[in-house]
Amino acid sequence: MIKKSVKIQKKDIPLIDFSKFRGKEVALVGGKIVAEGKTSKEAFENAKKIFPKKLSKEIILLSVPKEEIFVYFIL
Amino acid sequence: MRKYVFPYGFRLSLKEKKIISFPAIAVSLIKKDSKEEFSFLVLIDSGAEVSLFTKSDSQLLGIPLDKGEKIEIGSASGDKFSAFLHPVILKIGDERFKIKVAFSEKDNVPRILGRNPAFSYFFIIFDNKNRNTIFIPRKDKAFEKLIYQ
Repeated sequence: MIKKSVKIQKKDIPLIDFSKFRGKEVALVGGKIVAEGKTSKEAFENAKKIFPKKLSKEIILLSVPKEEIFVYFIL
Repeated sequence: MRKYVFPYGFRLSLKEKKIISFPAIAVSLIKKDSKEEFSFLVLIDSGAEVSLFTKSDSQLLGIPLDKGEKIEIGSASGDKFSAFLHPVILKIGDERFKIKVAFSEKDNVPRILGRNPAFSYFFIIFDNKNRNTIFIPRKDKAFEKLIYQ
């Protein structure tokens, strides 16, 4: 019996131009890029200027990879 | 049975209009003794031992980076760097866990949801065909019973 199933909507998935944003931090609101920065703090603060009433948790931060390889392990 | 179905989290458009998508989800981090939540899109990486965030993320949360336990991280590309483990509240869907995550000494690293200990709280199914990742909380014993009986 399914008590609860939470499905995230596909419309909220951003399409990111790799050549434009590679290596940058971007801030997303409603699945769209609304701000960018060199760091997450900068991207977040830039997004907050545009959406001052948004709660912190409503601004989603994404680090766009520099390269296409990103697998990590502890040495 | 409670479950969370996350479509593959972000898509990158590459050269020649090729688009690749990743199993990534939005998670929130909350600093201990704080109520402010910050949200991040992280790659779900079963190959990674720990969850990794950036130096700037620690500043955003107000965590003094170098006060944590220092660990060394290596990547498949040969890159090596230090990171510091800190306790935080990690939120996935409505589920909250107090775990340690690593914050890198530098900023240009991808955020990763690694195995320890985040994966221990869920059964995680990669439905690659439908581009979904399904998180089933372990605290609900129904799924565990189903697969192990």
